[in-house]
Amino acid sequence: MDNLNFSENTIAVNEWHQLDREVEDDENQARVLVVAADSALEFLEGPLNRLERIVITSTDFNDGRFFSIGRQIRLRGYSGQLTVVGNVLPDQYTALRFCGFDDALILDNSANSRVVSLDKAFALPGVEDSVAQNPEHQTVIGNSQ
Amino acid sequence: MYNYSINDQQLVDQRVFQFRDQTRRFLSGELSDEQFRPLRLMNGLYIQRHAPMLRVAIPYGELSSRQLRGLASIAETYDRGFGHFTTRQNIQFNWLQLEQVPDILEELASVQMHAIQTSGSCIRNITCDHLAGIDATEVEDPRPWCELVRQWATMHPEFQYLPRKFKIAFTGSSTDRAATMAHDIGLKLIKNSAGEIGFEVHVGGGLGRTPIVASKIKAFLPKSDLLAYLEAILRVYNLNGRRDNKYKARIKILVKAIGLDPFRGQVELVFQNLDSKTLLNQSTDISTVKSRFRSVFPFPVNLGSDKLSADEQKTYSRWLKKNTMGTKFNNYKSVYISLKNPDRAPGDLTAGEMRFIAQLADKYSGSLIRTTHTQNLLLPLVHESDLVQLWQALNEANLSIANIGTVQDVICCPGLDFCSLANTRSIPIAQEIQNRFGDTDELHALGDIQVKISGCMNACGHHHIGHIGILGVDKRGEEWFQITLGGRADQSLKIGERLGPAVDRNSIVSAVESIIRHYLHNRLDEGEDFLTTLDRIGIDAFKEVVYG
Repeated sequence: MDNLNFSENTIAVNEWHQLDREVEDDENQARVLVVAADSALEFLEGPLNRLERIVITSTDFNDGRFFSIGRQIRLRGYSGQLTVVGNVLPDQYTALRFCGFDDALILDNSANSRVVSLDKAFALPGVEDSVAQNPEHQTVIGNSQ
Repeated sequence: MYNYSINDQQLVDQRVFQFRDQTRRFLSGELSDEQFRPLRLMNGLYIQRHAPMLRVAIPYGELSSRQLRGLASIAETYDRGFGHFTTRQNIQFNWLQLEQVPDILEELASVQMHAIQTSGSCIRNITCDHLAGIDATEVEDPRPWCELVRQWATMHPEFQYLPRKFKIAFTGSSTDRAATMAHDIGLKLIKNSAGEIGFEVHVGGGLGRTPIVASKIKAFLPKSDLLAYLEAILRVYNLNGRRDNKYKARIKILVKAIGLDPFRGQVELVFQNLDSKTLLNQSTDISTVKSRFRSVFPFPVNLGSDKLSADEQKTYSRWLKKNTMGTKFNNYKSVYISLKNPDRAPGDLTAGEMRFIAQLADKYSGSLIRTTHTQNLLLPLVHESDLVQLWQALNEANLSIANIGTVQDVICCPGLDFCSLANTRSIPIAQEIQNRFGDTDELHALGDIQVKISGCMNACGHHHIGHIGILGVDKRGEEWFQITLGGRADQSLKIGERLGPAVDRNSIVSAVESIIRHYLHNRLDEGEDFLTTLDRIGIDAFKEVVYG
């Protein structure tokens, strides 16, 4: 993700619910759905693949719901970009990746906010060899993407 | 026992590397207390009263002699020369330095051990019947399934930050020795009417502030669906468990709040959307796990007969009766080593004793040792012709006390001596009760009575499910104790009933003694156990004795 500025193109969960599902995809339609990590998961019932990106906002790295939400979104067959925004720890990047996230937007108190691509995000040094090889975890990925 | 694959070893080694870096970041201020807390907890590291405490996982309670020596070395090098075995079959070291923990984890990794997920809001050590694989009545050995779940749960990407801790226990026997019904998930291997083996799944059990017996969520789960079904339960819990109040965050509260049937419905919905067969058959394969279980069957060392004096014979016979059990293998017995001698804190073992027991395991039990949920050790298989020699060796080391299952075999939390959550001390109460019944003839005449002591309502000493339960409470800065009667930890798991108001520190041990003596006077015969007498004469009779 090169560009953080997806604000103009976003839709909130309540608007998503009201969206006319029958209307054909059009250019003006919002492409980014923003969902709080503690919101209900009814949004999963919508036509997720119309969306370019789903953004899950986390206010507390210790509230692990965003991992399950990511998994559920991927299990629903969503193939677009999946982003987590807010309070997550670098130590969680590997798990985020395995739960189907593509990138994380880290908002520090300082002006240190940054986007982290999770493509090669391994919280464990050299873990590409181990967690990725752990057949169980591999399958988790296989199923989710 | 299970031997690590290259991947298992690599994962544990890398986890050490990672924790070393996390510790460095914390000590240098890069990580705040709040950020470091879940990371250290996930590696078994608590901040206790005196020093950091490290809880080391003993997956399903199985240890090799090499591992026990590894633990001895840690106790000696980094701690004060002893370790403490817990009710979840783990071991704790109480006097460590934070800076040394990465080195300790490295030593553990060198003997295929770790402290991963022994604490924190994640899936904890998988526990199991300590007679798994040797009990003649067992449907199937649950240990490979425990190992499969251990591998699945270890650093599971989705379930590291759950609302609260999550405990899973297995049994393959109809006699439940692992208190499975007091776990978040209890799994029992059963045979259905078609003769197929699968799991009976129980969910939402637990002790703590709100003791609840687990409910049956699935009467028969095919073995191949195990991981998928666990994943479904965990996901429903992760998404819906309360996070606003840690005392209401366990799955037992969620199941009660939404009701068992709706909860089951949600789990089934998630479960149906998972390709369960793919998940199990194409990835972690139970047959691969099974193939990594290797044990040396112990051959008899001593084929001659041993002469015992008349006195020795009496003591030996008692030990044989109380501390050994038949197994499914002809001529082989399981031997308990009781860690409930009144001169030690229940569950404690010194480094020297660990090495000594490792040596005995090498000689007599195929180098294997098990830990039990009752905080004792077990040599799983010993040939009958070696029992006298083994007893003599244990006797010389003061490890032959014959009190398994008796009132001296107290389960007890570390209490205020170590724990920063405790209201009261528990170890001295345990020791005083043990001493009250120090007369061996009387102790054995009493039969089996389970006394369980917790120093606070978090219930680490399982007081709710003791035949006699003792809970330490704080009243205006003084230690008081609540008594419950009639709890049980087996397949008929039951929460004990409160006897009455708490009693003070000076009265608690006498109160327990009165309860036991009242049972002794009222039982119909030696064959009527404590719970049966209690059922027959009722709790009020015991109230009079204590509060009379």
